[in-house]
Amino acid sequence: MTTHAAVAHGHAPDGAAHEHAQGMSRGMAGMVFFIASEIMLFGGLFAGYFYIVNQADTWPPEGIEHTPGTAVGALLTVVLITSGLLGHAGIVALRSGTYGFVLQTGSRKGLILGISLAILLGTIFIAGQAYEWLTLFDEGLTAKSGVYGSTFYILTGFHGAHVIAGLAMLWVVLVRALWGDFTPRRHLFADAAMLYWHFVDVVWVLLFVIIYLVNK
Amino acid sequence: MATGAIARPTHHPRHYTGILEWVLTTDHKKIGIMYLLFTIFFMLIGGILALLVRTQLVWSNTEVFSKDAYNQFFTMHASTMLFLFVIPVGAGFGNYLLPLMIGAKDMAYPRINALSLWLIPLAAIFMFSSFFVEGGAAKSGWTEYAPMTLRTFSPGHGTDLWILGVQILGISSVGGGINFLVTTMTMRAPGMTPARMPIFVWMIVVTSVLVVFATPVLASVLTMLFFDRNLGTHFFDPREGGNPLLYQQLFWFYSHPAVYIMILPAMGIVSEVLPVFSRKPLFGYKAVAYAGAAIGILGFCVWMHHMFATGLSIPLTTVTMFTTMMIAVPSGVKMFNWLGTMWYGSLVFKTPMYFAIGFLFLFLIGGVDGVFHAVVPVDYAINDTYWVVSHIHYVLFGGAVFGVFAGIYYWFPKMTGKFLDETLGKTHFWLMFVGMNLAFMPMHVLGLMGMPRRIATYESGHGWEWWNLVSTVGAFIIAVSLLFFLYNFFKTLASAPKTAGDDPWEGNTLEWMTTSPPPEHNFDSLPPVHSERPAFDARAGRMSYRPGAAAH
Repeated sequence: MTTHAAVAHGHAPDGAAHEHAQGMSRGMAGMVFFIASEIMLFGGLFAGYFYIVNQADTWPPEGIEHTPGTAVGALLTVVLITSGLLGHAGIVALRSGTYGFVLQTGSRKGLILGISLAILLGTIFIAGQAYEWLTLFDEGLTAKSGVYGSTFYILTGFHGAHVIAGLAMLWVVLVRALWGDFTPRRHLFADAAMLYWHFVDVVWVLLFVIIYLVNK
Repeated sequence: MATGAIARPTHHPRHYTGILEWVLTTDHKKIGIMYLLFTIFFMLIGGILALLVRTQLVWSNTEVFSKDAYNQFFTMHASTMLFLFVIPVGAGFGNYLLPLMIGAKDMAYPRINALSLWLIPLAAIFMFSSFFVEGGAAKSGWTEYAPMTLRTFSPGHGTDLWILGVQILGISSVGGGINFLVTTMTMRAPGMTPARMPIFVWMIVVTSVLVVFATPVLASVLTMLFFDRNLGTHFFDPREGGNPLLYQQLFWFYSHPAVYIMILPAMGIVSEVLPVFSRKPLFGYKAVAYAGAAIGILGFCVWMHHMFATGLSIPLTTVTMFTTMMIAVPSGVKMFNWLGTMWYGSLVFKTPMYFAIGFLFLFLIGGVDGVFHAVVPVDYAINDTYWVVSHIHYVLFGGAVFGVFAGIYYWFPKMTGKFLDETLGKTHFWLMFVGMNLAFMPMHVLGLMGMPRRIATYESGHGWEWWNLVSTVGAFIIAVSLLFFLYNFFKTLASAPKTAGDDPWEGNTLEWMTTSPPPEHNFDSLPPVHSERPAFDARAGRMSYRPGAAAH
């Protein structure tokens, strides 16, 4: 018999279809596959970007005078990564009852503090991106003004939309935490939301590298 | 402990009655049945569009419809068949069967499941309403290649509605795919190890992986197209630095794996039907499962074979040619295993078996003429001719549709407790089989004679008339065969007695270990799972099962 463990497992007393996961929990597995599909969505957009850049003579193409500023991009990157770290620290606080190295407060307070700061910084990120878009509009770089603008706005726009979706999830975590949900052992939704928030972070880092750094 | 005889549930917790029971349900079985009903309805609509197309082509210089209308008909025929029938019908079978087959109570996310279902009619409303907007429906072929679909060449909102419809279907199938994967990962019955899952479950898992990883790429490219049309971006406009080939690259990165999204569930159905009606275990269970996985992986490596004629570099075409031909290997492995299953079996010729054997025969032809396309120089010659049309119909009509009907006749007794009529079923099969070959075999010849696809009419003098006439006659015979099916379906539902019992075919898989139709929670208790044929084991009295004892 090749699978003794599995057979032994089959000797559950009720024998009926059982609910509990082998391995990853159901909610987390769903989030992982959802993020996988999101990675492929961005994969398509990135592939399109590289395809167009690859066959362009110069990048940015001639005639593009205004490009996004590296300093702004770097600032946004710091804001978003900090947001992810603080939010994650909130989860760690919930699990371990400490808030990083700083606060030895109750676990849920740590979660609420971390998530609140993550939401604040995420909102600042969106505001910063809106400010950057408006500045670029004024300077004449729009989605219609050539394929450079088209790729820039679709990549950052899709990312921004995902940041907003992630913020919505973090708000749900915050409200539920304020209601008294989540214990050190039960925090699936907070974990899943934070995984998504990290995914949004990582996509931004890639965007920052290819849009703001590489093609300068 | 559980045996083959399972106690009937004494009550159904029912919150709604009448139509609301179906509209508001989150029961995977009801959702699966609605998936099947919707998709078969769309198949009939797509079939009517096909008849319109064939009517126009029946003879040279026939112009029953304007060229513009013809273009809408063939575009919407293919879009309907692919996006509203073949892809969701696999999810329909998966919804009904996958939880039953792995011994689960329901899908992992029942409400997301209901959402996936109801997005389908919503998308259909988007797609079909485009016939009534100014400029008509999408008309650039189901691939909707840029630049033909940019504003310049496709004004009006038909294309926009098409894009929105397909995007909604994409959300539906990604939701469904995630649901299948998580259900299979987390809700299998005790003892249901991966190596004991029914092949149908394996194929739904591979399909779901393809759905989750490929469909979002289609979403990205269709979003670009939508923005090009409506927001003035320039992804596919070469005058502004864009590139129409980008559309093809991303489109086929989805749509080639999508071919396997369409055929793998049918392969899974056939892999369940053949062993039961051959009275033998599936020959080479593991080989069939691995071959399915190999097809899934290779499916991501071959998309550029749709673009050989666009002038890709020689290394790219060469690599794609080889990966494409490699797909014939796992497909051949499966074919070998199916034939090996029947070899020296005690074949029982019921209607599901007819359709399964029809699948083998027709899919073989579709597979062989596909290899012609894989070879680059041959592809240059037959690209965009009727050979392509013939190939895709042998694979997706001869393959997927025959598999679907095998599944419908096979599981109808489980879903309703009633048998579909055998005589009508076999008439349906023979008419459909003959009609299918009459309709699509001549297209091979037409392709070799150089008839391009997607033309609204043609001049005389090419010698195409008789072959087109045969093809059109075949199409109408298929239509007649479906009337037999519909009559059989409604007559059986209305008046046939419930004679099927729990396990009418002496099946192998767990769904036969519950009532027909199954109760809301599927199982009261399950037999222990010691092999990939738990129902067979239970029926054969191989229940050497004692609680607490190790199995040998």
